Amino acid sequence: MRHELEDIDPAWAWAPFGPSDEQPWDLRLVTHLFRRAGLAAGLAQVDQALESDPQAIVAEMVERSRLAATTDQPGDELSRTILASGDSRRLSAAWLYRFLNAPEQLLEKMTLFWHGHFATGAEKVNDARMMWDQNTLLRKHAVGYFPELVHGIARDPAMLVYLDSVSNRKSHPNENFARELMELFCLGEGHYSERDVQELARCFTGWEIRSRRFRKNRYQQDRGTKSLLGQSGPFDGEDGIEIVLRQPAMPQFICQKLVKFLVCDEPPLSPRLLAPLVSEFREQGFQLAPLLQRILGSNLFFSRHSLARKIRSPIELVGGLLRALGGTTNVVEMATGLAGIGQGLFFPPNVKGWDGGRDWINSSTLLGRANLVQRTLSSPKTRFQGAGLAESLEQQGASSPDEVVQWLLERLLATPIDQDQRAILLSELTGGTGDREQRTRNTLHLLSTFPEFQLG
Amino acid sequence: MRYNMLATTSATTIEPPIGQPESQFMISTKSTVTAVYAALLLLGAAACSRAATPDVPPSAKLLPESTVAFAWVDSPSQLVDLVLHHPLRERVESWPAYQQVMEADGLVKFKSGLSIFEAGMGMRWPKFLKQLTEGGLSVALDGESEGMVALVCARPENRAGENQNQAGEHELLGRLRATVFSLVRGGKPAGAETDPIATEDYSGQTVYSINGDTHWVTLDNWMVLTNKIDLARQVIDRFREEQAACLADEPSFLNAVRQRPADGQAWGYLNVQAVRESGQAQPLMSGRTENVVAEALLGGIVSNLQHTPYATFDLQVDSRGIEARLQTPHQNDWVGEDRAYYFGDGGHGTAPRLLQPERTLFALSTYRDLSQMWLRGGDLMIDKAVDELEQADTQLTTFFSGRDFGDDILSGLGPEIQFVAAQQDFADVLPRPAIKLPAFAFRTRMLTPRETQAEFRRVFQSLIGFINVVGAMQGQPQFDLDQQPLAGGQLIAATYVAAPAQRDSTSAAINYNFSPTVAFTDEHFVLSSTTDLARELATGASSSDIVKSTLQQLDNEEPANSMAHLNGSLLQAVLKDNHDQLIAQNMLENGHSREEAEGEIGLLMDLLGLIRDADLRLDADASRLRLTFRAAVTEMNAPQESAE
Repeated sequence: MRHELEDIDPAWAWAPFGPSDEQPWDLRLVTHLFRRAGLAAGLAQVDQALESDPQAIVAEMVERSRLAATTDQPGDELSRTILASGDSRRLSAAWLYRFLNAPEQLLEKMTLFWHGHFATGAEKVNDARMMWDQNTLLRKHAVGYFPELVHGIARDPAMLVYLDSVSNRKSHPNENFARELMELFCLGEGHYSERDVQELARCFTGWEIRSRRFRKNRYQQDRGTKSLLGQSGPFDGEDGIEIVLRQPAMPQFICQKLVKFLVCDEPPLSPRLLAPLVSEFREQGFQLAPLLQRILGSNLFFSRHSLARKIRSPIELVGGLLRALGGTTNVVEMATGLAGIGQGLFFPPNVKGWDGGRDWINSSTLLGRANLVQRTLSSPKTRFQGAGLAESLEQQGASSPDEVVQWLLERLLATPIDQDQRAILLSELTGGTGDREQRTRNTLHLLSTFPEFQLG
Repeated sequence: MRYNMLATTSATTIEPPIGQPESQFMISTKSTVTAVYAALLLLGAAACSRAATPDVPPSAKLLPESTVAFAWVDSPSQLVDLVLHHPLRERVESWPAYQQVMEADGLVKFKSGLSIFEAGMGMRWPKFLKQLTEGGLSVALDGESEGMVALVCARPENRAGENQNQAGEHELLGRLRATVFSLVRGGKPAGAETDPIATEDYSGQTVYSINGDTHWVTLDNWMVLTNKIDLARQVIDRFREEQAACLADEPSFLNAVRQRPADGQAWGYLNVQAVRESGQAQPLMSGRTENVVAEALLGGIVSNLQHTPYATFDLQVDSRGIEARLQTPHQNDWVGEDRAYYFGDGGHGTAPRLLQPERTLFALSTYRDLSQMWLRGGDLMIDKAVDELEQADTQLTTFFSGRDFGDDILSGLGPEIQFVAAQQDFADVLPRPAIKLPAFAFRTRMLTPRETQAEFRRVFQSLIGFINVVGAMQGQPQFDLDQQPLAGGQLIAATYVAAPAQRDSTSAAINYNFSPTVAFTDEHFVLSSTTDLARELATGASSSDIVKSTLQQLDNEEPANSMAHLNGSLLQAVLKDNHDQLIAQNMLENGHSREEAEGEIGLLMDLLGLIRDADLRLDADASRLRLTFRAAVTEMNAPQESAE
């Protein structure tokens, strides 16, 4: 069956979105943008965004993230302190804290994207410092120059430990990293042969990790001629990476994955529809910032093909809820809870990272997602702008039950609910058990169990 | 009739205080009552300063004989006076964190509520409290009704001749009732039609029930507040009938009262026998635990609680600090053979002196025959814990080359146990760990020094080798072993060899807090987390004068079964060493911003700075078991550095 996405004009899809009478720049589109380019819009951001226009906001978002990527941020200090404990699980909480509080949400969202792309698990690496150094590398290049990110990751101790590639001798070339570089990181299946894996592995001989640092052991380097992806020569590791990066499949592969992450889970966009994006990525020299600006500001991004067309990941589900409401909580418990439903930061499930989409939801995780929201809302550590939820909403102008429900629906849902569901929320808010604060929190929890709440 | 009965009012409708609009009384019904009730209960647990002779507290004559727990504070207002006029108050009020707390939303609301209450009472709260509790405050738990009751006496009984103020006291209790009931009515949920205050007449007395779960009676100059209507009725019965059996007639209670110190300011009684017979504390009274450390610390006390008829508590507070004592009758034959390890033969086991190295943060000395405790584990622990102990025994026996851990190894050590923790000085040390832990050490006597020394030295070396092998696999730094001679002994130290990248680090891994060391001198064995501390303990290097004087004061007292000492200012210093870690932890676990976290941690530091030191002693003799806790506040002229 032909999907309606097949009929979309690629030129229209990636052209800059401009508000119109049919599709005005309203609360729904504002919250959509901030939800996809981060966890959610902060309380103050929404009004500011409504006063501006989408292209200006996206441009500023990308530029600020680009600048923040190369400067020391307040979250760095917290992470460095936590590193002293050597506990990767606390480091996970430190990143979560940063994610919830960072003004440059796009930078953190993209760091999360690359963490899933270049998946590395702390459980196996067993070194919090290495994991944090990798995270810093990902953040530094998250909206930067893609080839530089790939070169960095190829020398990253955490990645090489994770892929059992701490040593790579010319007598026994280690194929792990070579295979993943082509299959998972740059090209995708079907764009290389088994012979290419073996030849690329020869390029990386002599690349080792010793005492948690990358080094080249010149005595273990295979200086012979390699035949890789149609080229021959005495290539070393850097040459091998460059050859992979110059493959036509690379920009297609990266654009496809980025669109899935930012625009819609399914179906995969056709090469025809992706073509303008791929061309731009190539023309911009594989710079990520212009690519992101193009995607987030596009007609397709603000169309019905993107709105509510993604299933919220656990961190988007709970983190988004907190951020949209100005909430704070015990992030150590929250990080543990996220890991319990499949998204532990620094603890991806395997080398392929998180599949996302429908894989976030099954009978077990659905219950777990609701329970995590419930635990978060019932925690005495969870506050909203330093106060109770009811009081915080009142400060936002939502006092009556109708206003409270309306406010929650507008800020938290990507798609409307029907009147019956709305009545259920109102009934909980006005006639549920407990005091006003308890009823408000119960109502929010009830909302989080609606199928519509699972869509981002 | 024990008390003069006065005509009681049967007011069922209480108007708000004049001049106060209804809206000002919109305070939650439950929270108002709970707050008043909780305040009374808290005051019951606190103390004030008034010397008293050990008479039976008058409130005991109003309580049923089934009373299980009883606490009495002679004059709560004096405690409040002490806090309000304490020399440290000015310092506390100057803290930035104190200012933040006072401006916090919750406290502002509380102060607002208090103002409304004061307006209703027509006086400031300290004056009100003084008048209300002039005759003392008692709190009790009744075993039969399972109810709690607070009794407040607005005039001491022994002032019976001073009747000129009696009318005023009744007016005060009446006004308090009117004010509280107005607040309760003002705070009832919108739309609720029923009056939250109900009344009942019992034996000519009006019992007011608030929301059906709190009951209020005024009996002459007594205010009675309880959560069980039956208990309220029992108090009324005893108020009317002089012959009714009451707590004051109970032999166990009377025995306890006779032991009450004459200078006690607050006093409590617990009928342990009743608790035992009720089966309420079955897990504790069974005497078997799953926690080895809990057994070592509390096992002897549990043996006592299995037999003792009652326990008492008394408290003294003054501007220099507090002293609290928990006492029970004691007999040596109450302690079975299985817990002979705790008190020693005939109950004569005494703790050695407290260790006192430089920067002593915490010191603990105790008498415990560890070998006996280990071997009697099957009698003391629950089955699961026994299984774990047996596993540990097998592993340790393997580690000690097949020599039985309990029988051969622990039996080589004397029962005099000393533990100490001291702040480390990292000023000139590199690599300097980011998390700075105190050094700690364990010291005991070797019964057979020659054999024990050889065994322990070999095992320590094996252990360090094992750690090096495992550490190497995990990329951890390696230990370098060194042996140094000591006067009359030997010191074996393991020091981390810093990786080149870590050598000059000022935020190194937590490992660099440790240089595990064992020291042997004549008959003593020291196991320490650092070489410096081991050497200091082995050679008896002198401590600072202030630590010495405090610890010597403790040592000069009667021998004790156990003694512990905590230095408040050094605890503050250790936490300051780890200030950044505490801030980070607060941010993550409370979701606070850095500013909020710094405020909270700052307040914690400031509060710790108020405690000069604290001590705990456990004494046991042929007739008494006593646990004494003392805490001294910082002297006003002591240097105090703000955490800010």
